[in-house]
Amino acid sequence: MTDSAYGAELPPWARVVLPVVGLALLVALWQLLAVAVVADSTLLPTPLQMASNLWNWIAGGGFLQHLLATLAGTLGGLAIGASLGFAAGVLVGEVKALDRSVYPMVLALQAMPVVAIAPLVIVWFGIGLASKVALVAIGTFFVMFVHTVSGMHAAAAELIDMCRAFGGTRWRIVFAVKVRLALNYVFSGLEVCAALSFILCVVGEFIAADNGLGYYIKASSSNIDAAGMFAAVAVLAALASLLALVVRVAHRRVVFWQFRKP
Amino acid sequence: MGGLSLVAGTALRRLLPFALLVALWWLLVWALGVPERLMPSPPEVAQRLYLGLVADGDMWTHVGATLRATLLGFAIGSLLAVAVGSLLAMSRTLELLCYPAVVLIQSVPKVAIAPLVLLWMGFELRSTATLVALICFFPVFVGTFVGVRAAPPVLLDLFRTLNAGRLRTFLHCNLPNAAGSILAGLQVGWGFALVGCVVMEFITGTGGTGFLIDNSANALDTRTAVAAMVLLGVLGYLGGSLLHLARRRLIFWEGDRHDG
Repeated sequence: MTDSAYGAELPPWARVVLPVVGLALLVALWQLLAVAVVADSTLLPTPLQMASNLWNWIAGGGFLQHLLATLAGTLGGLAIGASLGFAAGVLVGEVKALDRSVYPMVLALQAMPVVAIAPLVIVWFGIGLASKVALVAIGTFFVMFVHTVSGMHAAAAELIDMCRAFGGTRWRIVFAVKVRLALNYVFSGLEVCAALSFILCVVGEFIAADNGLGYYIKASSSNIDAAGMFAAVAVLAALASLLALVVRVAHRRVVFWQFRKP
Repeated sequence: MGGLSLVAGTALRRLLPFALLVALWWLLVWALGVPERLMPSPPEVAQRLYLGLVADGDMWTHVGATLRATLLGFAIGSLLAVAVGSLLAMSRTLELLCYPAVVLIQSVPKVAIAPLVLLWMGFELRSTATLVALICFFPVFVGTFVGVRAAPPVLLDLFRTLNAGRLRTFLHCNLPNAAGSILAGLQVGWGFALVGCVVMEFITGTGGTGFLIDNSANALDTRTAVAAMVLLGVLGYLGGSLLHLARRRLIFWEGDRHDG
């Protein structure tokens, strides 16, 4: 019963009631800040103002255009970057000469924050969907690549030996043993990619774009319209959480053996 | 003599990937005939770096601005994260109360609120440091929380048998046990911190390496843009290496177990 090391034993209802109380406190604190401390709805709207503003934005026109632009850039880039990163990771993880030369190079490249290349990508691809897709694809490619290669490294030697003893060819071993065992790493990589993809797309839209949620946030900032920014950030948070949830569920479904209870 | 060659060997092994990277970059630019306005070659960037750091010295102000804002925000964000993470880990009541706030902080993409932070905090150091603090909070918080909770039950029982209070148990058992996990969080946080700084510098456009990259890319001066990216990479690498070293020195008993 080391649980009591972290405070008195809590009754079962506390697990539900305390977070609800916490949420209420959070909203109350926000309301207090907005009404009494900041007292300027252009800088900090109250929770109610924010909710109605969000609703008006979604119900009125103009919202869908920004939503679709950001979704297309994020998901398109993620699909391209993650699949190429996975394929390259499998190849490099399997071929020893490539593993020795390319993998350390990519690790070295990762010292630079990938958002820094955003202005250069816009020079390469121009303003519009292509540059967003390219930026997201480049960022997610490297993350996926590194995770896949480390997954390929992690395959248990006994299983490989067994597959070889049963006459498995090299690529049979790769796909039946190594890739399958790497999947846990691959999905961890995909979770990182999912979070990164929205960030990259939004940064691309901050720098140069004519639509998208990032563009909308920046335009609202120029108009000193905090309510507009809050609405767009809330939509982004919801989208990012949804994508993270989808990836996590897929992780549990595909790599079910990692999550089986002992 | 043997020690010296060992040091040289280690340095060589560390530098080799970078040398290969530069060689590959040079080869690609040369073989594909990429024009400089799209991608400069390594000697062109090296020349710009020499000009910016030695001959002219115009890049130091930008590097200084980035370093100052990142370090300040990183220090504030990490200290807050360790404090809040420890408090929530040591008390289940607080943990459950703050659960919605933690979910909120985690689900909002911090980079997306950069313009909002700018609106609240105003230009320059204040807004950049605030965004950096916000963005590096979460990984350090998680590292602290998980590390503090991971204290071995046997040790906790021992502390209880010896009648140690909660504070003493925390200081002498939970916190030292969490050190490796906290430093791992700091390593992730440092990378995040630079991202936050660069994004804010893109938006404010008043100075820093992020500003330098954006501003020179707009003018198709890719030589300067790539030189600034190299400097940013150096900052990322140095910070990461220092934290790695700190981890090995401070938590010598764990060795390289968690590395990878």
